[in-house]
Amino acid sequence: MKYLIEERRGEAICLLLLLATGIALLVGAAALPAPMFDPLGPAGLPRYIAYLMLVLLAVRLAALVREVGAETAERRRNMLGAGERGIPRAEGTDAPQFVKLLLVSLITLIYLAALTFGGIPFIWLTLVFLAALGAAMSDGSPRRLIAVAAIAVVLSFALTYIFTDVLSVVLPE
Amino acid sequence: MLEAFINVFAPAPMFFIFLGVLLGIVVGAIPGLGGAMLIALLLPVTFYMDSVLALMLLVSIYVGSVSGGLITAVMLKMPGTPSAVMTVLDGYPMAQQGRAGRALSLGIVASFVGGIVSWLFLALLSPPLADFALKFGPYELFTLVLMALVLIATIAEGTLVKGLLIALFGMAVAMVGPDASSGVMRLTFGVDGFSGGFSLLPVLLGVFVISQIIEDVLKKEVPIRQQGGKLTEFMPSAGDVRRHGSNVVRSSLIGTWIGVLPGVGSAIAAIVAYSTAKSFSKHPETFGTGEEAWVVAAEASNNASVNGALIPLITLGIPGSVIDAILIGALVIHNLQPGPLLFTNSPEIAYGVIAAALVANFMMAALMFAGVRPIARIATISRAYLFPTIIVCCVIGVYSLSNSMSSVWVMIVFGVLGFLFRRGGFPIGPFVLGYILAPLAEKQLRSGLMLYDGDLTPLLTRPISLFFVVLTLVLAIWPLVQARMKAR
Repeated sequence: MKYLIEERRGEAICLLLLLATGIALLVGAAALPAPMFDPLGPAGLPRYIAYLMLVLLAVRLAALVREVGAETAERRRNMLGAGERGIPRAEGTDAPQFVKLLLVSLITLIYLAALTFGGIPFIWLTLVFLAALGAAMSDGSPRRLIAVAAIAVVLSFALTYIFTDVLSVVLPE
Repeated sequence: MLEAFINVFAPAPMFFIFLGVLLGIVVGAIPGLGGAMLIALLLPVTFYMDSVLALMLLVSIYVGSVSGGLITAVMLKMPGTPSAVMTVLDGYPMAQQGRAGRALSLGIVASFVGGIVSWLFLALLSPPLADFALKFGPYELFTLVLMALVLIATIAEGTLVKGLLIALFGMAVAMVGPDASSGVMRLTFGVDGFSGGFSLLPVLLGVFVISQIIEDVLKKEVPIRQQGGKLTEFMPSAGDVRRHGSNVVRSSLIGTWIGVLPGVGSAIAAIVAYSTAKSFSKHPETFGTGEEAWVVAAEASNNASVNGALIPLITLGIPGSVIDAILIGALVIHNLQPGPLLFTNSPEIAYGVIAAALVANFMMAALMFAGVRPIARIATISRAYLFPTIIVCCVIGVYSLSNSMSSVWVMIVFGVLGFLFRRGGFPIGPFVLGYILAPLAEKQLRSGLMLYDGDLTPLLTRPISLFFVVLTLVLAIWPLVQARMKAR
């Protein structure tokens, strides 16, 4: 399980999500009324999808355990052969990039929360968002920051004008 | 058809086809973006447009986006789209040898010929195929969708089981909301926000656009260097026709055929055509050294697959690729029923799409010849400028269709899910196709059950549905047999 979490964390999370979906489908289908117009009824397909998902999940999990077992054995053999050198870690995400992602996510969530709760006009909120997100994604050079600010000003006004005045779209307030 | 061609030459259609091809080429050239992303992004804008013009715009983007990848593949060693992956292998070495112009011109002409060959199939096959498909009953359509889903899962990257799992997840997402047959609320778990189901647009923008942005933010941005030198030898000669003629036609036919197969797409078409060209070559050892034939094969086939994929879309309502699945969404947004009845109920759409595909192909060639340098420069735009703009466009697009921020949050949730699945090695294509095809599969199955009093045996006694059932089983079992044979 330890190796499974370390080396196949991404897939393990997805399999858990799929398992939760399968269970939710079964629970949701159980609460639906019996068929009225056709033999399948509203619960039929969700139930069959859930059964298939659970069977395939079991198949994939078994294969995953086999693969991880084989990789672990291979790793041990290599460790014995390689002595102190060890085995290089699998390629992961750079820490600075992960911090950047957190920052980008935080700015986006604040923007969306502000749009949800209202109070600040869309145009100003979008201007600040474009500038903040652009700055967070840039390399921080003064030239690029000035360009980001200029683009934020132009785009926030242009997008608001195009969508409200040209396309008559109602924007969040 | 003739009327559609007369209409397409009016100023408005020509403008939208031009705009679509141009935008398509630009996003196709920018690594990390792509036709699927742009088409999903523009769906809400097309909601306010005339249906014919909207479909023309989207199809033109499709044509442009598959071609645009050529420019960055040759000049920057970066495939702008997955379909240009094989072009990089020999296109960039050609550019390094000072033959960038030659690689680009051959690629553009091959793309153009590929598009024309496959368009002939689109124009000639679609109407009779749609007529034939009108004879399909609910079980035939159900088994056809089933076969498409299994084929998609089989061919998608990763294992068959992963492909099937993610397709089932897509189907599960489509089940939420009112049941179309009985009106009963399904799988809402008492949450008001789920009562309308998960709309197409937030789901598409989430899994294609937001998840891609998350993925790209996690990657370090590397400065892109453009291959220098003059673009000499830019126009192909008569000798090129003799040298590459058979390769272009063969690759175009391969691309068309692969495009017709549901869910396969232009990247696989390029790989198969490349491998075939290699097996026909007298000098396969020149692979990856800047050999013209490989560039020609990859580009002819990936463009041919576009029109090939439009055939099942407009005749059967079955998407030939992920972009076609989004185009089905566009048809639904415009209250049009994709499938054989499109030719009967909305001929202006069906024939308009066919006419636009041809005109877009000509415009693609003209724009690519005229704009190689500036397009390659656009591809180097920093994501600090691009991504914030894309996010704001997604927010406006999703909000405008529902006037509710809850749809925007749904988009974000699906963006995170899409990212997790990408990271877990699950292909995104089968998810979208499962999500789009599930309601169709359910509707046909339940109609069939009602028609035959709950009897499933007509699935095996009616010849067409039996054919699709057998094909589905073969497609599902074949990878397992293949794995066994390899193990021995």
